[in-house]
Amino acid sequence: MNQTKESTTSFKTNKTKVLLLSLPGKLFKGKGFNIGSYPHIFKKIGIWLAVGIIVVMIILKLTIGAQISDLKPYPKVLFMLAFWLIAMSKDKIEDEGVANCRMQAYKFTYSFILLLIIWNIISVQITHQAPVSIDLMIFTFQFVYLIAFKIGKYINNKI
Amino acid sequence: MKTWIKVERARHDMTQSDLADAVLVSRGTITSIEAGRFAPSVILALRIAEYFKVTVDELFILEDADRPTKAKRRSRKI
Repeated sequence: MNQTKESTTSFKTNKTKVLLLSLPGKLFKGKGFNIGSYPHIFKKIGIWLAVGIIVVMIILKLTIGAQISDLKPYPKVLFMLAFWLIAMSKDKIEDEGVANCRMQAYKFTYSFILLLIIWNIISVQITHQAPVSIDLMIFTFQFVYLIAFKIGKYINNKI
Repeated sequence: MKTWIKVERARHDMTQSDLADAVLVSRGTITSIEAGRFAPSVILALRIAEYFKVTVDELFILEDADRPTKAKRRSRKI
């Protein structure tokens, strides 16, 4: 009797454990947290946004002579959003080959960022230099990911 | 893993783009499968085999390097 009770409780705890562990997956399932999960149109929006920001900044600089540092926070955020859209939206044909390519690019970028974090720690602890800021780190992540993905796709398409 | 997709393609007089359109993938995927850079999923392998009217084991052949050896099994356990 006791044994059955124990086994039932252990089963219950296991079930709770499984539920708790699978909760993030259930919460974020199909919510756009996967790589390359936004529609293809978002990529076009991202490209237009990035190009538009550059053009507006050049026009502002030429007409009113505004410094880039004056306009810093707004273009930076918009530029990062544009890069995010370009990086995370689907290609015209998004199949398993492209998904594999994305995964490889993601792995490479993660290792690159890990190296950057280690470099940061070393620079702060040993050489006493200022670390790389978080926004630059995010930008580096997006940029490296995009470049790695494009190179991967080029190699895949090469006969 | 060795593939006979290129041979089957030649037999059917098809380009990589034709096959890609037929099995609903990009040309890059077919290229990388043929070059052995990418192992397709079971579903894609079945789709390609069905298109050429052959079996999957006629299209894809396991090489000695892919077979599990004792050393590989041991390293997986660790």
